[in-house]
Amino acid sequence: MIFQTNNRLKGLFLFLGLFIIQYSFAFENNLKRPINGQDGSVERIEEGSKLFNANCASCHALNNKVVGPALAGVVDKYSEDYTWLLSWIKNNQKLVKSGDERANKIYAEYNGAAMNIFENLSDDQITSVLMWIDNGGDGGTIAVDASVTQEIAPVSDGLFSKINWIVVVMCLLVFAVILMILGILELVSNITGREVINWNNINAYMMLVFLVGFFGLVIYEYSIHNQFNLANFESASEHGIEMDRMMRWTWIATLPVFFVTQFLLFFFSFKYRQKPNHKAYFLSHNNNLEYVWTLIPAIVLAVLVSGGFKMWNKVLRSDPDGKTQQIEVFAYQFGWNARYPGADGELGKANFNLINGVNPLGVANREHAVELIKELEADILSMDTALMRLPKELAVLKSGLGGLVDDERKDQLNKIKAYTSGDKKADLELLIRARHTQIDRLKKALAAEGGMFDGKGDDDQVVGEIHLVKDKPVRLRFRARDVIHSAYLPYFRTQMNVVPGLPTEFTFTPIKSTREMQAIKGDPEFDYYLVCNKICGNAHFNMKMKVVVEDQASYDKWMAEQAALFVKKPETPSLPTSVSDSTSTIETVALN
Amino acid sequence: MSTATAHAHTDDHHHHEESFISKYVFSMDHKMISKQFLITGIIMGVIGMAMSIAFRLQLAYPDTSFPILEWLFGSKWAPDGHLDAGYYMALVTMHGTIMVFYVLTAGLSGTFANLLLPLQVGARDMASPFMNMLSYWLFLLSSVVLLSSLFVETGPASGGWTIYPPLSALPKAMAGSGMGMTLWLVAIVIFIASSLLGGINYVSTVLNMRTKGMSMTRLPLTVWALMLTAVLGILSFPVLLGGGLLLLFDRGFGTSFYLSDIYLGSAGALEHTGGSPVLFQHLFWFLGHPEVYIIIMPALGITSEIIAVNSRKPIFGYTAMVISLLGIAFLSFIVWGHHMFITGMNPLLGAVFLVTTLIIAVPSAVKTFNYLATLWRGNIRFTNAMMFAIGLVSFFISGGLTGIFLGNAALDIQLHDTYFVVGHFHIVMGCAAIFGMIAGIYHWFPKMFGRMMNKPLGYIHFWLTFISAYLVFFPMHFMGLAGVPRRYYAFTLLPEYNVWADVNVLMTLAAILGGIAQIVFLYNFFSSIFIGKKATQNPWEANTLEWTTPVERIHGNWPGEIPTVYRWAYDYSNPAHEADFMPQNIPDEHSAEELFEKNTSVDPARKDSPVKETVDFFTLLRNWYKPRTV
Repeated sequence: MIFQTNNRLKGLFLFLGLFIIQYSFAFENNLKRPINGQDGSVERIEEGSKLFNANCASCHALNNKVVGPALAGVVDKYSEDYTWLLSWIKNNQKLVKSGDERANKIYAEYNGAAMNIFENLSDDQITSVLMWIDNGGDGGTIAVDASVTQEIAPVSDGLFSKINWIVVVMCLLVFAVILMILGILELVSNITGREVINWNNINAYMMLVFLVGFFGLVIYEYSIHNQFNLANFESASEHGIEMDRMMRWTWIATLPVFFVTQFLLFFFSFKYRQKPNHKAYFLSHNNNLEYVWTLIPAIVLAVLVSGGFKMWNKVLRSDPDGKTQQIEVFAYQFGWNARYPGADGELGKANFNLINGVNPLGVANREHAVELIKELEADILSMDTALMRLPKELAVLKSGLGGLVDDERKDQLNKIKAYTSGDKKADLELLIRARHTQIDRLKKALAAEGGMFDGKGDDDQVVGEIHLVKDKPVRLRFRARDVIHSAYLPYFRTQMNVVPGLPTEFTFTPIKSTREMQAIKGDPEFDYYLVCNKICGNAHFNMKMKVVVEDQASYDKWMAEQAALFVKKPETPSLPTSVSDSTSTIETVALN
Repeated sequence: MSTATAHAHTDDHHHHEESFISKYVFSMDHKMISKQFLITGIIMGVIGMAMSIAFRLQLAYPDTSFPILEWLFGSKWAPDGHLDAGYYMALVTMHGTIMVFYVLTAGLSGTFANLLLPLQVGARDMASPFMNMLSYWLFLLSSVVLLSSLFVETGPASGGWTIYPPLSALPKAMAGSGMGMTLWLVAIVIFIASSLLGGINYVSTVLNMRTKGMSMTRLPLTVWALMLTAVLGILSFPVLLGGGLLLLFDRGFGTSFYLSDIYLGSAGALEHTGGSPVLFQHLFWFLGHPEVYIIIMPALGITSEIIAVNSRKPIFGYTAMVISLLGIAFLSFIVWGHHMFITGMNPLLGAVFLVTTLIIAVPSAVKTFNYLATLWRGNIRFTNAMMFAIGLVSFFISGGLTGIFLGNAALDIQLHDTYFVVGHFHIVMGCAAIFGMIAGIYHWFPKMFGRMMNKPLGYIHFWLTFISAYLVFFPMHFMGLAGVPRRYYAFTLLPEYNVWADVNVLMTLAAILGGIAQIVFLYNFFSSIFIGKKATQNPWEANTLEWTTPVERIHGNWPGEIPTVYRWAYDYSNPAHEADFMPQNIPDEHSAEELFEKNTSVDPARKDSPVKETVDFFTLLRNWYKPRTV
């Protein structure tokens, strides 16, 4: 959470009241001290806020732990050793591998879940983020939340805003009293020999009461919560309109069945309750009746199946000629990137072996690959040194055991265990082997001439939000870096899993610009988002990317601002040699 | 319980002295094993439900501190009374695993297959009592292994109960994918062994050990359901075993069955290539979907029995019910792909699964209508069991209908992995199956413990549970329709979803109410074992064979000969007889032997039916409004 307030409704209403005042002071400079020799300014803090939300917010909050630690006070904590903090933020892995003690301690504390690498950020940009953190966050997020409280209002009745323990205790007391009354009644019925309460009738009537209450709940729910049903806001994609129609027909087919069968269930239960000296009507079966209620659902379902079948094929095979504009959507723990094809209109090939801090998507580029091999070789060297350092580190740890007691001793013993069990060594050796394999693969790919390194990726633009042109079909091609994610675009009725090693895609046409949807929803702050919808780790719930739908002119303007990934180099003559399977993932077709 | 030992001595065939250990611990008696399954299942159920309340607290009050959470989970997983994001996932995962496998598979099938199969088919025990005992002990071992993962340093498995790799395969991707995940896999492997031992036993008992006269067409529907459940388990669990073992290999031995092209923030590019994460999903759901029916079919069987007994009417359309069960059992093997519509699989494959998925709705619909027809013009006794059976039918309708939305691949694009799915499966297989299980407990409690449960407490339990279950899961459908993803710890960066804050609070309070209702049940259950009213031999006036055994539960079930069966299990309110029930073992007044011979070739249900085959549907419809008295 970016701002720490009591997020209960009362608190939010309070903020609603103070919203305007707060907003005007949103970036008031509260900096206590210059950071890295630089004084904070409103512009810097504002920049920091943007950078934080784009890069850090999915894993960090100011005042509580999300995946990584809470960041409030981080500047104080590392004020002595600011360069260390900078290098940690930029590339924590490098620090860990270099054997830096502090880095290893943090690494161990978070069970070896590494922070992402931010070599793309400059020292000054990181300092801006830290200024923003030191300034205590901003009012920007409050503004977002405040806009939401307006929507909460109609649903809220304040009744359930917190657990009332007095009510709980009273419920328990009532239950105890009920128990006592039941006990007395049972005693009476034992003595008199007949039941005091006719439970059968009570429950039969309760069935009727429940029936009314249940239908009441359904109608209440429908009237209150259906206002958020996506189908109420016209779909922002072309196929979505048809999907909404199909949804409506499915409701029409199922709702009457729901009401009729539930009514019959509870009504029969009431009507045919046990009566004295009555015998039930012996009816073991009736074939005609059974044929009818087999055939009717079969026919209704056949209609729905054929509709769904057509729809499904239409949506998933909507790009037969493959001429639609392509955008790559890349998912990683925990965020999204998008890649635009650039001037040549073609996405360059990409491969997971090419990923590093400056090329987060692993787009193929010869110079980058050569550079990366050098980097990896250096990495191997440093790990080799670390491997050799192990016995010495163990000796230091053992000698440090002397004066420690209790928890400290336990911690130290745990650390020693990681060395003596061979885990540490095995871990390093595995990493070294993986680096060697990676270098082999890269070298093979480089030697293959052409193939992956066709230079088509050099002008690709890697961005942090998707911009789409209204009414223009677009083909999203999905690629995952680490685990399975799922790209969910609720307003576009679009969803597709993002699977490592298995490229997937989805084609659709956006037909409502962000502006138009803002008008429909009556919310000027509204934005489309692509969110993750497949459990992917601790910060799964924070994985989102903004999607903007706009007209061609604004799209072109935005596009012009995006820098190409690599400076354009003269292309190497491409030869029709194929590269090994592992290096051509982007071209694989998703068939399984 | 002391009377049981006393009675054992009167039995000529089984007069050996039993020690405490052989009677209560390493028992080979199917009735004792069923009680062991039940009580272990109840304990697991309590743990699973407590977990759900813990994470529901987080969903409803993301910014409130609950010291009780810190007290329960320790300051590592719930610092300052706030649930940790990773531990939230772990709780969700463990809740799913425990409920699906440990409560609704082993707890439900294990309890009632063990109790009812030998008693209802007329056998002295299971085909292999020793395997049966082994099945329970493996189940217990598996439960212990799974629960022990809660105490591992890196926490229990937290990749969702479906444990999709690569997340579950890479310890560096998530803390819960470390030791916790290994223990999860080991626990499931042991569980599968237990389930297979049990399943083979159930099937062979039903096929080979039926008493004289108990033809397949005279089997109570509980037996049909439990047997087909066992068949499903035998055919599908080994596939998960294979899938799980391959995952263990990927985790431990560097193979690449499910891993390919992975770059991890903490380890760089991994060596694995050529595997497919989607392969695991196919293997998982090849079990996973039949598993849904493994859960619901015993509950449907129990409901069929209880509704017939307490409506005092034969179950409507016995043959249709059996055919539906067979149809569901077969179809359940060819619909698994509907869990994977949007994994990027070939659209053609998706279309095939769409068709089969919607076909399976037909036998389910037939079952529902037959339940309604059974209630029609009955003489309904609202026993506790009957109430829960009616509740099951209600859930089965509500959840079944939302299944039509999700089974449609085109609509699933939008609804997949939203709260709509959570609402759907909790109602149709969670609530429905647990209601079937509870109905069974109330109904056969006298058979298990020789005592009755407290009726009024049972009513309180039913109404609180029924109402709270609908309050928890019904609003979820609307959240799903609004596009709220499931498995979200909080809506920190998606403030749009904060409009659901109040609904989340309502659902959490309803869940707590449901939890309180289960305390009523637990009190009722455990106190009735010791102080409940003594049961009579046939308290519900039912027809099936288990009520012909003495109240004292003896080894070998019947003190003398095993009864012979002369009719089907549903001769309730037959005008040919004076009483409104006629147990299966009572010979007809005229000529027992002759009738038995005749009945094996003629459908017994048809024999006494007053409704002629020629009566058409519309006549029958008209008759609904002109009730006749027979």
